[in-house]
Amino acid sequence: MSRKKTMPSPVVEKLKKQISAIEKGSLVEKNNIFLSTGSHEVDRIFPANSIESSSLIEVLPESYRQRSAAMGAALALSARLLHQKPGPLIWCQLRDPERLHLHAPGLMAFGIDPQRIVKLTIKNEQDLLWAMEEALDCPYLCGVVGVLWKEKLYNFTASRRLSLRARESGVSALMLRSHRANGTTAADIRLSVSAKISSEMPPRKVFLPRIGKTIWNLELKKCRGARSGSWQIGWNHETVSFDLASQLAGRAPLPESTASSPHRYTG
Amino acid sequence: MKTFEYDPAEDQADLDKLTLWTIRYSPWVAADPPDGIIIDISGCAHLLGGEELLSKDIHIRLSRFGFNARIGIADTIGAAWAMSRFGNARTKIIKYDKTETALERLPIAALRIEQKTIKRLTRVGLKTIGILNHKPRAPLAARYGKGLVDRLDQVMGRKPESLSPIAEPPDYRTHQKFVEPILTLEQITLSLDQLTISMADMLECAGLGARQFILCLYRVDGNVKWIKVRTSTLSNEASHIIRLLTEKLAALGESYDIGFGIEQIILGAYHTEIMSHHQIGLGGKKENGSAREFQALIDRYGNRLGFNNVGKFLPRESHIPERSEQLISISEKGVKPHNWKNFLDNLQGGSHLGRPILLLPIPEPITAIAEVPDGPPVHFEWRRLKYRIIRAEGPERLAPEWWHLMPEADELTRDYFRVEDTEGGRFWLFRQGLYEYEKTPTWFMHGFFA
Repeated sequence: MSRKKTMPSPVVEKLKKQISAIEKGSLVEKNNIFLSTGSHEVDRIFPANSIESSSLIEVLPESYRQRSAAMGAALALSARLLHQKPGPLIWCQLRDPERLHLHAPGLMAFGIDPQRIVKLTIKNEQDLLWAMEEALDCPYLCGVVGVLWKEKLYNFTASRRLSLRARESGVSALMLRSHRANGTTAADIRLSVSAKISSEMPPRKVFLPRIGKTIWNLELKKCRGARSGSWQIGWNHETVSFDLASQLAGRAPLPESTASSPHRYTG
Repeated sequence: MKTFEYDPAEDQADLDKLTLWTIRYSPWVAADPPDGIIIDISGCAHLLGGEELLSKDIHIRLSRFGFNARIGIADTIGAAWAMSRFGNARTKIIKYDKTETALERLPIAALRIEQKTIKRLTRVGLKTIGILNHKPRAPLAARYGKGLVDRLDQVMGRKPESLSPIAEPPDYRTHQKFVEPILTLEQITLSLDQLTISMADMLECAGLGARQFILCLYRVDGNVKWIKVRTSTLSNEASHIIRLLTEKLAALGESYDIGFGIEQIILGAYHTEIMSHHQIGLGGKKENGSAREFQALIDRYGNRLGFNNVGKFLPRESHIPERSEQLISISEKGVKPHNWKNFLDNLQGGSHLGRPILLLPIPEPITAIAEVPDGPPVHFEWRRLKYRIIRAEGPERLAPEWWHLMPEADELTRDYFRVEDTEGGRFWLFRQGLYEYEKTPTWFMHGFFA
């Protein structure tokens, strides 16, 4: 009964250290690549001025009507991934009644080579989560994307599994979820996306003016070490990169250096 | 005693089932309706300690199922057939040089010939195979047909006879028998490891790889369960095959009724081909290690989700959007490398964002209000939601492919528009038909831009 008073055992101390190391992800630093969004201004949104490749990113549309915008943003992120890392990308999609399917010629135009995409058509959510987890176990891959408009099994545990796997292998995971998705998940980054109408003011004389550049309103809902906020970010299919569409309107900029970031890009 | 109505179809089905069960003795088996099974035991008998023990084993097991079997073992199919039906014992084994003498005393009915021929032969006193065998062949053939002589030659082994097996025999196979029937799938997984390793060794020694593996589980009551796994490339890697099979077994899980246990498992390798060896790099690490890992991943996807559901994109020569791409199974062989960039340039010329990232495989009709004759819509309703358009580009006209001579009447000219609604959604709509020709052209929703 006198055990209470004794000093903490060295084993416990060691375990505590390990746990904190795992939480920081430093044990598996070797697999981690820092991804750039292609624009220094957009990079600054994220801690360490980049997106860690070994993270689980959730992309949510802001509303039902914004689902194609969310798909677009997820595809833009995938395009960045494919641009910076070798290997194929696995696209997991349920045999969806909504039937929003990838269109290969359009992907090529968007900046993604369809040859590098392996598309899985999956019957149920359980298999989809299994397929994603398996993909995250294969460091040869560039990334894996899951489309889950209706979720029942995807919860904290499931997302934690994906996140840990991603951390081990350095393969990026993207999860497209419904705008109604709620509940806590272990995603490293969560983005809410809505499309923005073409920014220029329409000229008066034209009845229906032409369509402008692709711009999304990205709201950063969750990201450790970064401030939440929303940004208007455009997609440039010629350079396959994001860019900040307009100045940060009246918002405080991020502090120059975040304390917990050993890596920084210069210039 | 119980009586049942005679049901030939049911009998045949049961015979097929039993034939599949006999694959445990040899991979080369065939059903011989109405009441026989032919097993080619060449090279298999020693596995059970010789022909006597083999036939004993068959007797014991079949009697447990409630069958009373007669077995004939001989050099030729014909002789074995005759011995099982006309031999004077439950088991009759003819040594390789005794075929002729053993058959001499048997009636000619043992020759598998027509009833009519038997009658005619009996009438002239040709009652046994021995007598028939010594008669001159030409007159026999002339009088009773070539079939008789053929059958005689087949029985004596002068003419080859082959049997078409009920299931394709594996190129390589390993098996394991259990003294006590196994009652859990976990235990099977354990012995599966050994079985697969010895299979992989065999393949490795032969320099071969296989594309398909089948694991057969033999239940005590005669039920046989086949578990198939496929690989997209040639494989002889034990760990990979074990993983594929274990996953299948796990998926089988609760739905499989193990009954009173499993007494034997057989692993067969199919479609083997010569496999080039993987070079081991100087560092000791296998080259293409991770690429092979990727192949292994694809195999596991294929076996769990079906290879048809693991797809890759290929361009297709067509201007009609839904026909301009195809998603084919990743295991498809002989696919030429293709250049998507050139394809896209051909497809839509200079404008590079004229194709959407998402497409409805079948365009969905919408109700639209548009400017006549060729303006973009101003309002439209799709899936019960209303959209108001504030920006538009188009039309891009795609004429039907007249050279295909599609019989469908709805092959009309399409005018595609890219439009943007008040919430920033960007759609690809088209009008099918022209106001000049059709009374009411219809509008369709087809794709989505980012």
